[in-house]
Amino acid sequence: MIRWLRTLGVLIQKEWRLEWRSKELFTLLACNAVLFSVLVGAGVSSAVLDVATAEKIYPMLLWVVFMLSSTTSVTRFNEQELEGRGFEGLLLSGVSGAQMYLAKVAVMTLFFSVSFVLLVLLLALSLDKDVSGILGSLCVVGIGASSALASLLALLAAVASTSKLKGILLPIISLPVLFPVFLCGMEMTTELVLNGALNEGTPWPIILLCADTLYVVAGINLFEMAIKE
Amino acid sequence: MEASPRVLDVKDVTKTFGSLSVLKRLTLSCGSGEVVLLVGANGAGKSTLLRVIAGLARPDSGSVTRATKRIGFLSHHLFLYGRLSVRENIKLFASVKRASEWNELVSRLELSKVVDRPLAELSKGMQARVGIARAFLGDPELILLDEPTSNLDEKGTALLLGEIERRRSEGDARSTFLIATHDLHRMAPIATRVVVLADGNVVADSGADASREIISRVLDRYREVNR
Repeated sequence: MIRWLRTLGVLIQKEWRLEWRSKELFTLLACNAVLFSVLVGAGVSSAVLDVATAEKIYPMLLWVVFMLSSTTSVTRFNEQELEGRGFEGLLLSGVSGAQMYLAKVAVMTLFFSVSFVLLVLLLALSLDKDVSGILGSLCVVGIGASSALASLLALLAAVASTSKLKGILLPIISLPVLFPVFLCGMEMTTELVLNGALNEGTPWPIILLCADTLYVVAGINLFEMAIKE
Repeated sequence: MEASPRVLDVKDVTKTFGSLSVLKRLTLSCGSGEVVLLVGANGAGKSTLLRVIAGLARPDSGSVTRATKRIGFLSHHLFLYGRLSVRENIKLFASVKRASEWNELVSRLELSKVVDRPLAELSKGMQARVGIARAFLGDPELILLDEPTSNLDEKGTALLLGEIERRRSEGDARSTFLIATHDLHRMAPIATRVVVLADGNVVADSGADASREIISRVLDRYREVNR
């Protein structure tokens, strides 16, 4: 088990290095976050919504923008594996598909979480909404949703990576499957915005955890099959 | 003479890509310490056979039995990461293979000067040397080489041949080599066996521990057919 975890650590380091060198995922996430926030801000201000209405639609806008920016940013995430077929070298070295998958999920989760925090702040700025009191709780919700998002997108990016249509294919196949994450995130954000805390007995964290577990189990079992010839 | 223990058994393997049948019920066995030269025209099925043996491609039917999990594979894909440096690449694979000798391998293959440069910035020949280092890490018992000299200059080829020789002469467990090549001039002298593939099947086999004369005869026959 320790050996397995050590290998996982080495793979996480590799994923981090590759992303740090290319900065593809983070650049796309950050650019999309800024672009979508500005567009949403401009749209809301041209609609001349009152403060109360803008506050009500903040959670929905936050999660629509987060989902769209995330799913459209990961289309090149597997490119570096495919360029030199490094993943085949790893498979030959005794690394399992599950280890490769979990390493990708860990790094993706980190980047999605950072992008989520960036979005929370940018959208709050665009809609003139004060989120300082709930920022910590929002971050926790964001990390939970980011890990679910990463769990599914790491798998689907691998499935779509060999397709010429991957740029289009990935958002189309992932968005419907990600609906539970969207719903959970939006509902929990609404509770936080309206009450400053999650309601007692709210089912959404459990549903998010279930979705997360489901995606991880699917990824661990299917990733190797998805990347192998 | 006592037969060497079998390292590899390929039995009735078939592999098709769409309507193209690349391997047709191919059967081949290799014993420990053999250096098998796989020769054949383009499209004969050499690379596909090596991928199937390595476990990177699934055969449609038939079976592949490997007596070891320690397999090294060098192909025209380097199985490396272009954005990582040579050191990072080698250390990555050494870590996952639990191989401690990566430093020696790097210096034997004369990669020390480029060890901190990104792989993608190196010449094809130097990249191929890094690929050799990756394939030879962790003392593999079965080493599959697909056109290993295609990007190598004389020096690189000499280093590769030296590394192969080292694996054959040192240690208790001798590596078994399967080498798919068109470079008969440089690779034939180290072969202990020649297998000729044509149209997805074995059409000639010199047999294990064949004499130079038999190997030459099989290769001459192959050259004649392909002229």
